[in-house]
Amino acid sequence: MKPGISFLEFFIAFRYLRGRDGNLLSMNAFMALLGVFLGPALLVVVLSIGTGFQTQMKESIFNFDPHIVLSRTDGGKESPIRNWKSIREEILVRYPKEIVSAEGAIQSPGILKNGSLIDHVFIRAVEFPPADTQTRQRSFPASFPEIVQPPKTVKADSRPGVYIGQEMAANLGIYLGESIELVVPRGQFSLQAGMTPSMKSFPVIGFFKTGYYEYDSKVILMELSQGQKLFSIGDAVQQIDIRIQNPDQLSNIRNRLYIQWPWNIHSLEEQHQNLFAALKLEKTIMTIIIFLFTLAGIMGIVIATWNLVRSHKKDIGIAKALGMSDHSILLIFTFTGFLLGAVGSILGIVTGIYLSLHVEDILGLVESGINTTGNWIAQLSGGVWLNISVIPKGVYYFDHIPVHIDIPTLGILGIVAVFLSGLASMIPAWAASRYEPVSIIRGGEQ
Amino acid sequence: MSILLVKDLEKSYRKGNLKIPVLRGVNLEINEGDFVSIRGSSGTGKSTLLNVLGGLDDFDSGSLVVHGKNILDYRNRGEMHYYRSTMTGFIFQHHYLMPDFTVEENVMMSLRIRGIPAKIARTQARDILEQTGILHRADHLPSQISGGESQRAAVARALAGRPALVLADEPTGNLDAENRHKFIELISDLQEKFKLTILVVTHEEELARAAGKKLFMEDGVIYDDAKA
Ligand SMILES: Nc1ncnc2c1ncn2[C@@H]1O[C@H](COP(=O)(O)OP(=O)(O)OP(=O)(O)O)[C@@H](O)[C@H]1O
Ligand SMILES: [Mg+2]
Repeated sequence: MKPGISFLEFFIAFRYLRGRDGNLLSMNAFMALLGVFLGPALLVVVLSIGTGFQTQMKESIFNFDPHIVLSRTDGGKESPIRNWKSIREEILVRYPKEIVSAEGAIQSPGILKNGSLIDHVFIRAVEFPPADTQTRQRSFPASFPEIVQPPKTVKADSRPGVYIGQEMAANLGIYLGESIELVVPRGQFSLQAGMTPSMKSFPVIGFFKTGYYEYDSKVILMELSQGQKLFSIGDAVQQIDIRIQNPDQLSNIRNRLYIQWPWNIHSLEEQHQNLFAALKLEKTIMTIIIFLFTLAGIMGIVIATWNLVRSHKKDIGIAKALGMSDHSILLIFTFTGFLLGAVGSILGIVTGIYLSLHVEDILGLVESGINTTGNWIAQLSGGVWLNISVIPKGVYYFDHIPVHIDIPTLGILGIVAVFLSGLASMIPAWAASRYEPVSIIRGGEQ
Repeated sequence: MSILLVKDLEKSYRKGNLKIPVLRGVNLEINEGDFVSIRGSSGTGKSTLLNVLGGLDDFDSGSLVVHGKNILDYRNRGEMHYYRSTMTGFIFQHHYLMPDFTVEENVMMSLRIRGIPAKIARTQARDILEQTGILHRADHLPSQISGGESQRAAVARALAGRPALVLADEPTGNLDAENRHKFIELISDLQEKFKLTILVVTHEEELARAAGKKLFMEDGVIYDDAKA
């Protein structure tokens, strides 16, 4: 008899997993399954949402932020660029394919005053496209944030004014059409001691939304000519904003531009280095933690297999006395572990994908559950319950939770989990195959 | 024809530095169709001998040839499992049926281990269950049948593969008088019918008498019962 794989081993393995009472699954096997199920399920949810957030955040930054910013310093301070139009032409002629747009811009901190409210804001002035003569609406390019107010169907404000982020509007209670005052340093682009302030009043002509909370709560957009007046820099600009076609070429183009204009040059990546690094670290740490979860689940499989081996010690002795080979015993108990691992982790991954796709409903349920309970307790105790939100807007600001299901990563996770559970259960299976039938028969009836 | 030929078989257990000799030169020949019983007081090495013959335990010296084949050849080739599945069928004092499997599956197990396809194994298992008179319990789990029935199932399992040599170590030890009697009747009938070669270790006078050849073991050596 050649030792080979026959159906006998699988038949026995399945029967052992089923347990003694004709159940679908023995308690032992069920607990092991649960253990190896939870890790991948959690991992998938966290990874999908984590990647979703990152992708979304990067996308909104990439959409709104200039990709490469060219500016000039003079004596340590940023100085206005006067010949920016000819530089822009030169850039566009030189890189007709790689560079989508180059525009003069002002981007500087400032102070917003609205009645008694004062806030620190970020002013960005760029050229606006001309307004439609009929509707007075402007058709902004795709790189411009989405205008959420006023709606497209309404006749727009024709006054030269500013757009503010919708979160700023909500936070500071600013209405459409209301005027706000902006204070900036005259002729320079940083707030510092000894600056000469310049103050101007602007009507708010619209609210915008980028999807990135920092921007939607802090940025004020205005037309370049307005900005030039506010900062008193004539027809100069502070910087030239460049957008490129392919994000992968970012550092390449940045370096090529620097050779010709060895000024201050910043790419998007450099600007948001810390954010991107933090996002990456966050995801890495999460992955490690939950991978450990998965390992713990696999340990559960080893323990379950070991329990299975121990509770079938007598069977193993008998099977060997009947002539079953060590190889077959090894196969039986490796297969039980492998099967638990495969079923558990695949169920886990599928459940994880399902949960990721329905995460908002689930969080909504959790939130309303908590708040209902809170209100109920508050009523009973005569206190007041302030409704909480499970995902605070300031931290994770998207109107829907972005989910990105990364199939290749999940595939690798599944394969690794299945492979490891098979491999890990070989340890107790190997021990089982070493049992001497004589010691078990000598042990007598137990 | 000689089924079993044992010469000067010796085996000792070691406990630390202490050497406990158990088999001290066993000589034994069993021919095809022999029904042999071994009696002897407790601790003289009867079970040890049977375990060695069944390939469950090893020995120190001497020779052991079953059906013309030296057991050491199997051991050296790492094929003891093959020896166990084809050469011998074991019946123990306890039935040792596998609790997760039905009676029929238990019997089939020993056939499937020998590589017999499931379909044929099922037919053969049902046949031998009929011979042992418990076919009506084929689909029961071991926990659902009586002690006597369990032991019959164990007999069916040992005989199913038609081993060259059937080894039984106090097979009636756990049975009451009535079942003991029935068991002895069964084993005698089957032995006659299939010309089985059986070596049984027992304390039971009745079972020993059923065997044609009666041996006696004392201090690790085998004697003819007559000489004892
Ligand atoms: N693993 C072992 N280690 C050490 N000594 C052992 C071991 N197994 C058996 N022995 C000893 O070997 C001797 C023979 O044991 P064995 O079981 O063969 O006796 P037996 O003739 O079958 O006795 P009984 O009639 O009570 O079943 C005994 O003295 C026993 O204590
Ligand atoms: Mg004994």
